[in-house]
Amino acid sequence: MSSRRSRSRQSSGSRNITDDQIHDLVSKLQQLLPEIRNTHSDKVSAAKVLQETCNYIRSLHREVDDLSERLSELLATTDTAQAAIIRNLLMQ
Amino acid sequence: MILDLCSSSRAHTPNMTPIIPTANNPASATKLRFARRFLRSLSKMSKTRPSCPSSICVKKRSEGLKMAAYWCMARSVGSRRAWSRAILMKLSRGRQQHPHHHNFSMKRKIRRPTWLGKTKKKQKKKRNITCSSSSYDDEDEEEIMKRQTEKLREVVPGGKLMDICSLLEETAHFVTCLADQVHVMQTIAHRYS
Repeated sequence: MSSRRSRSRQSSGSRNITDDQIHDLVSKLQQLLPEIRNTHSDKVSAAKVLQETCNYIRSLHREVDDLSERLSELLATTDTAQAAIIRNLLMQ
Repeated sequence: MILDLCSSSRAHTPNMTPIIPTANNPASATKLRFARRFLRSLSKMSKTRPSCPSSICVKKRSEGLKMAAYWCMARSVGSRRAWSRAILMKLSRGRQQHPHHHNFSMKRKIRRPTWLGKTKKKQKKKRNITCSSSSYDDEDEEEIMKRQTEKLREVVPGGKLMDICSLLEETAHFVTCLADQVHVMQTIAHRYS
């Protein structure tokens, strides 16, 4: 019965998720964020970690956008020699 | 050389061969796989669509490159992760969605995934963020947590259907891979400029 309930309710509390588990996962997440990686985990709230995660993911997407544009321009300015270099890279 | 792409953020043993990923360092193995895959699609792109300096071409190709980057990363991770499965599904569905497949896509309204960026909703989201930070103090901690979780679900592919634990686990893995992806792309761009 509890499993049926956990399907409809996904908030914490269902499926016997403990606060400790969430705390562990959140601090693991914190280690990946350059902005707050070095802050002691007691000083950062879980919500703050999640917010920073969202911001970080968005900034990474923006970087992917910029880099795709840059690479596209690079492919445009250089010609077959470039392709040869890329192929060489692959061979190594 | 491909090893170079992965070396600066993680230490590596000098005698490690670049092609064979080490079993005790799976994260780096994914990065290597991504680097090789992405370079391969770059070379394919430069072969099939030779240099065309017009801005339309550049724009179109940059869109293609972006999709290729996400696709390559998801493929390198494989289907064992929910987020990579979600990306692979979205992108392969997107491929079928050319104008002549219109009657298929009409039935299911497919929204552009937020993790691909540049959605119309962006404006609204920005406002939400500023709201949330200003009313930080006088709100219930649990309420804030809930709202941030919802936001996280938006930016992690496939995040909508996960319970909180899987969401956090998937997010951690997704962030790592995305950072690796950016790093590899940066290295490649740096080498050619």
